[in-house]
Amino acid sequence: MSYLFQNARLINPEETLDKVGSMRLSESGVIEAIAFAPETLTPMASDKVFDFTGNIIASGLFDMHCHFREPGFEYKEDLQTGSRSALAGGFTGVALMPNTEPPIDNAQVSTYLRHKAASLPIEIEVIGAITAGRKGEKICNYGELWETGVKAISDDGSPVMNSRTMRLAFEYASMFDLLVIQHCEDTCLSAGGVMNEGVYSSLLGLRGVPSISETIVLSRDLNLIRYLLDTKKGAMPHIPRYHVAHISTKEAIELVRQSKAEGLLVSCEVTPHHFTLTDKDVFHSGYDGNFRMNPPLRSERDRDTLLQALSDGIIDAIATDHAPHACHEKDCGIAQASFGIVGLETSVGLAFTELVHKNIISPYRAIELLSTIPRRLMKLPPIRFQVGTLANLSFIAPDDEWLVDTSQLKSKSKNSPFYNKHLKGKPIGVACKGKVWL
Amino acid sequence: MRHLLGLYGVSADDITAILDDANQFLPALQQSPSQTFKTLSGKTVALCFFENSTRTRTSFDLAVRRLSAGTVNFTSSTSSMQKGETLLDTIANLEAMNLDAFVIRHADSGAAHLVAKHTKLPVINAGDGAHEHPTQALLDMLTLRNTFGKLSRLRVLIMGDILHSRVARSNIFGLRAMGASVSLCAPPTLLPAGIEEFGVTLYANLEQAVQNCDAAIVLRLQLERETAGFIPSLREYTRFFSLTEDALAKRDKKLFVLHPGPMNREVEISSAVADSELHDKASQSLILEQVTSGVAVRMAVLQRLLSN
Repeated sequence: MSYLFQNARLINPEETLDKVGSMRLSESGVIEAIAFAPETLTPMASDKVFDFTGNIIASGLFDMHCHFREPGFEYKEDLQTGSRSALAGGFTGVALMPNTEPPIDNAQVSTYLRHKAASLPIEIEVIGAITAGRKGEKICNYGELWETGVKAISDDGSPVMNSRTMRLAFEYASMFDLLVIQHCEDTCLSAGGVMNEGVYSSLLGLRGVPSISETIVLSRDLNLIRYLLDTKKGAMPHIPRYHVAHISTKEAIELVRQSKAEGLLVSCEVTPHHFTLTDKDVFHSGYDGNFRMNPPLRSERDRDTLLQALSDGIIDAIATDHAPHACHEKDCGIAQASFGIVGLETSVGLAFTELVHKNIISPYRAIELLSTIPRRLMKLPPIRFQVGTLANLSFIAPDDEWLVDTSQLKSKSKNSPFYNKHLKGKPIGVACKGKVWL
Repeated sequence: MRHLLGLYGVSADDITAILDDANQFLPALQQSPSQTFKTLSGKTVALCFFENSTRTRTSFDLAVRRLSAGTVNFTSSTSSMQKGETLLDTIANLEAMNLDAFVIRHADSGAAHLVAKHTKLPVINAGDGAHEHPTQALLDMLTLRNTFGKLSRLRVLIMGDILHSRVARSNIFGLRAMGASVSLCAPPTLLPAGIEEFGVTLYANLEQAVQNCDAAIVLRLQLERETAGFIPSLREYTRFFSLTEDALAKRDKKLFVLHPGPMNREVEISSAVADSELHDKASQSLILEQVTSGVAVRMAVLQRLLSN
């Protein structure tokens, strides 16, 4: 048996490819033939034929910011359920954040996860912690983590507040060319905050998280990098690579824009919820815990800037910050709710509904944001649409309309503010690690 | 030359003269009983060690005796420094006792310079903070010159905690003045700012670094560097920066190895390398030769500063 996809739109930004064509995959997920229109592939007896007119075959989507909660919080999610959620969302790979219990701050835990992940249907990258215990005090053994395959570090959820520690982290990480991912939040400014600080937090009587809590840490980090490039460039084997997790504010986008223009190796990701929702939606949600996330949903002004930055290339990646929580941790009113929402299964739908169909970005740019650039940042091998290679593909029906039914999510947790949301654009399958999922 | 405060700016001629003088003393030191010289007969040298030292103080003490001079020992633990006396008061008091030279070891960078500004006597810096330790570099250079025949175009790797090392600074200045090329291997967190201005080659990878040198000076890693956060752990430091036989596996020539001591065995250097001998293929330790050179070099410096 083999799979024949006809008249698909083949998009692989890695090869600057965006053409209509046909592709045959073997049962074991090897690309057997490709033909670009007007050429076609003639069906063979063994082919299961799919008319993919209007559908996209893209290079495999990669979500560089996920929490699968293992080890330590398996009641929220585990590697198995997280992987099923990723497959359902059209992702062939994810990177896992280290805020587990124990945290991924040593080679033993990262080896354990990599070992367990080998048998999963998707590719798993493990992000190591910046500091021991994610306490922000002492840097981890980056060399030992790197030897186990770690390519990025982050204390996600807990920013490194100590500037000296952060400086040492940048210097030391440069030996292994690690991507340093910062959750930018000045925790002194944000302490106790529930939602974005502004008129809606005031109307609701909820404590606010000011947008400057993001920009203060971001500008500190950029200044540390500038300083190190000025005074310790000779001592660092690589230029620091810095990535802003879940960027959410207008000012942060401006800082990234400036630093990119200067030539710093800075990148950033945005979540679907930050480019879709605002604090006004929190106001209308009726204190729903599913609207509590960190950073919080920001103002309309911030969201407009994010949309602009998605279209003009300042934002490098769309990442979900997939953060599963059990019902009792979210159905408890926004003031008590844990931070974060599940995102893997709504990411493609939101990207197409809010960005592609509203003409903010092209389908090609969407694939860059969801696949090509995050893979590059994580130093993953480039995906090629090449006969004889193992396929790493995502199938998307951009015009399929559907209603988000959180009870049907494959994730172990159902905490999404997008229940009952009408979306246009649907992941319909993937090919990865020798299997085709349709 | 009135003082020896550091090797920064010291000419190749001056260094060569000291090393030549030191070589005149070496055979005498290797005899038993070792020969003494009358050069500084009747003079007294104050050994002022405001920071702990065994090897350097003993070496200076012997050097002074072999030149027939006497020593007074002044260490901070037994002195009135603990009663709050300032460094300059201490020096002024000692000078009033009609001494002939000061040898100063102090935890503060610049301490020897401060003393030199306020005394008429010659001052020898026996190590100040993270600044310089000129006699250590001179003894390293004497050891290297006697091993290789010359220093010019010799390729010397200095590895370890360069940031806090006075030994590294003096060796960089001295070796470069003598026409040797110096490379460094250390994590970026243990390299000082602006290091590219020092005229050295930098390596973060030990295997690459040892490919491109004739001799290596291994620095002691102060164990408190881990607590202070400069390295994540001794274990990881050892994994990436310890000079071991494995790290030398890709070399086809023997590497000559120096260490200023005291060593942390199996941290910055493996015992196999530290104890390697003439017949070993991968490396040959010069660590004990350094100690002998140390007495000779200090005699040469004392003679030069005190005999006229």
